[in-house]
Amino acid sequence: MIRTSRHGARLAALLASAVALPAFAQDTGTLDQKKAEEALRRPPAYSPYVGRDFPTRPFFGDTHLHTSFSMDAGAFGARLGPRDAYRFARGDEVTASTGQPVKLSRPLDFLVVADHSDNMGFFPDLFAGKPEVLADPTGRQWYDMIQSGKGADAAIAIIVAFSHATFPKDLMYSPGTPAYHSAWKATIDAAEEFNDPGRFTAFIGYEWTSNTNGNNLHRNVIFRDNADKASQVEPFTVYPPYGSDNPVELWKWMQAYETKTGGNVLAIAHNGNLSNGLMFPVVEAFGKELDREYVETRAKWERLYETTQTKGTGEAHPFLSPNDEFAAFEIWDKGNLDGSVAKKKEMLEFEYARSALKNGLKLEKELGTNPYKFGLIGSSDAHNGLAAMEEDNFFGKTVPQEPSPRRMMEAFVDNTKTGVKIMDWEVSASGYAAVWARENTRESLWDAMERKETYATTGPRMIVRFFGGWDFEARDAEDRLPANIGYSKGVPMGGDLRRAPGGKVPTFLVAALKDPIGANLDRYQIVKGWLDKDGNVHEKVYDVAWSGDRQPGSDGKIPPVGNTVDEANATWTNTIGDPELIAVWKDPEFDPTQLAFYYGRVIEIPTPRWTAYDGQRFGVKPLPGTAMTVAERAYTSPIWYTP
Amino acid sequence: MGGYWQHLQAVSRLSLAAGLILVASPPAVLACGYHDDVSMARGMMNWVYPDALHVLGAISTAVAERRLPPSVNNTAPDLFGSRYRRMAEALGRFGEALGESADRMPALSFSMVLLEPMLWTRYEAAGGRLRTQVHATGPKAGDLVLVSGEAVIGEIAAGRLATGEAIERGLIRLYGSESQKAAFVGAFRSAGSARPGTTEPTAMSGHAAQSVAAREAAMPLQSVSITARPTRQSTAFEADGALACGPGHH
Repeated sequence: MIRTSRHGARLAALLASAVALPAFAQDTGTLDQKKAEEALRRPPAYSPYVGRDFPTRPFFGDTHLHTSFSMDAGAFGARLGPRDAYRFARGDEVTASTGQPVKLSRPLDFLVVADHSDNMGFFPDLFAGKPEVLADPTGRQWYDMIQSGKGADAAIAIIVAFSHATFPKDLMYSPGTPAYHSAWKATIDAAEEFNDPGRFTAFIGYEWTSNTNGNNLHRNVIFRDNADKASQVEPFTVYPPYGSDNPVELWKWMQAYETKTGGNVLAIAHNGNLSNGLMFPVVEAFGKELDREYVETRAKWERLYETTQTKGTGEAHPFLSPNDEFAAFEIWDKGNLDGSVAKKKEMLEFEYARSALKNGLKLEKELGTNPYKFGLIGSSDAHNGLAAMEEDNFFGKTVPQEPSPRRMMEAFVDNTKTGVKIMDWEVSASGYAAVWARENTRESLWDAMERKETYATTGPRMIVRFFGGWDFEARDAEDRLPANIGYSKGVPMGGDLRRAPGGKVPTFLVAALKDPIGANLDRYQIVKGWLDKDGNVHEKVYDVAWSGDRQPGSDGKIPPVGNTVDEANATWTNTIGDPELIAVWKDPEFDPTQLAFYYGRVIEIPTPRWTAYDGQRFGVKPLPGTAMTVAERAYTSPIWYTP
Repeated sequence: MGGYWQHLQAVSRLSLAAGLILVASPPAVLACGYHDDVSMARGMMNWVYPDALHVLGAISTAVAERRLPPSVNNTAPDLFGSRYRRMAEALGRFGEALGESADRMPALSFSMVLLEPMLWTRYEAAGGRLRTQVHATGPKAGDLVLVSGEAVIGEIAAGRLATGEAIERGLIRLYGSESQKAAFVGAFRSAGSARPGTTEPTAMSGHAAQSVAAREAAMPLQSVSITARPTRQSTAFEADGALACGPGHH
């Protein structure tokens, strides 16, 4: 009797969520007739985990890492290639390009080596004396110069040839050439060699690097597939005549790949904070007015957005979100990528994630599809083969920024014409992508990315859950297995809620666990954006769970958690904050007729920033204004509501 | 960057060439258009002289261990070229120290690059002494090439660090034939060994000095006999360095 009752109740709950079904079909947490019947047939087991069919752990990795195969990385001294990068990511100790031994605190679960597609592999090939290079007289000459002790002269000749556009055509590493084919094959071979299903995933990928006028519109392209399919094509480039700087052309290439091979690719837009207002257009792009085709195509291919990386964080900007006291986080808002054009405030709206998510609602209303319905991830964009994004173990963005007593003092961007100057200390030790997948394989991780069941972290590996539904209630937050309830009564991050059942409002089950070797948590917030009946977008940040017994102030905000950081010694204590946060939250201002999105933001207590570790370890005094503490965080992919 | 660096950028062949790539190249050639030209010239060193940048890692380790003082910490403009002049003087004294340490001066000319500013200096063996040319355009064909950093040369020039120890610790890397390297190490390894009155590293803290003393006790690398000698200006430097690159010219 008891068994029947338990069984029946369980199925009823499952069915209820499926029938009530505002939760969209996802391949996690979805109940269909077949599964329901199967569940009925199975006797209940002692183990509460029997039959569980949803992701039980996030996999942490980096979707954006450059090696010596990238032209710029090589030019700045990176000697680590894709194999070194995979080796390091899976937990091995390696020697950095500056000769320093380095190892991650814990292995990553996956890595995408995403070298720039233009001129991929040139530097390693030249200095290795590859036949493709030596077949060209100039290549031969440069190589011989290096071998005969005239390396410095060879370096000058190479750089001048590039800059004066006299680089031998046959030496250009462009698609269709044997040299490029060889470099792409080497990239694929490295991924194949290190891909270890179930233990470590090495994705095949590359970065398409549209950078016209210094405006960063890069995209990372990630293959779901193995070498058999990926090797049927060569990466899309920017440099003419083979490539284009227009993302629309990249999407065509992606479609062509899938059509040709039957495989799958997705693109992740680079943090848009250096695009000077071009990453998220709302009127036109590349001289063409946005239309239905544009929004549908973008939504199809660009499933994720890189909201934090070494070149700053692009979730929100204090100018756009003046009421968000946590918006001013690792902001880079001085100009575009090369500092050739200073930033204007009116650009900001079109390059930050939150404003794009809001404007996406507008475009959905106008054109029928939301082109900016993306999930969130973080990644490194490091250019030294090292996905080392831990504050106490930060190996920089490029080789010149590997640990040294000088790295806090030098300029990263210094354009004397425009006055745009970004110091090396402003480079962030950020971030990683967290992916809720069932298993650590290319297919499973890629599918989770495709369905946006991901979140970004600025480095720490906190575990974050975010479920939306109509029936979460306070007692659901008392369960020690919130995911069981989350998947059965709602949708996970990246999902959709539609057509609010009569009288119901969205409820959210949120949970976060601190990084096991990291800092305690300050608070879990939900960021809501919505489109009102007049076509205006709005946003609001809600504190939904927080540490201690703090009470909201008169402004409704939870007071700061405090700060235990000893900057001089680069230490802190977990005497404030909580190791876990869990709550159920109900939208108090829901209008069922309005498009909306919700995403979670989890904030750690303050900890020493990498600059504090450098100051302590090297005994150097930072420049005035150098940020020495950081409140690390995670951003979940949104859950969207559509009337 | 301050005036010292700007000054060096303006005249360094590598730097100039590297700068062009950022200004004139098509966007796709170098996708990420950040970084100054000196960084790029430095980066190329890691390919041309394999693992040359390991010197930077060795310097970082030495600074973290308080064996070396951090190099220039000041990003203010070097309006009067004093930082450059100090470095040029140190390079001259380094040449002197080498010459004075050798029982017999080998017929070995060599070039040295300081990685931080990408500053080349050529030391030419002539008449039983070394002629120092600070701010050379680069190594001459067939030269032994030394790669090092400002603080390392500063310490050797000040008599607080032996050249042999610097090489062993990776603070100086040598590129050339085995016989060239052997000749250099054989002749100059004791150059810079601590001299009476110069062993206390003034740039270091008391704690750092203790660390150095403890380290010396544990690792007696400086086993070469030391002869006290005064520090003096290099005539070679005066001829080729200051006249060529003094602040009045920049």
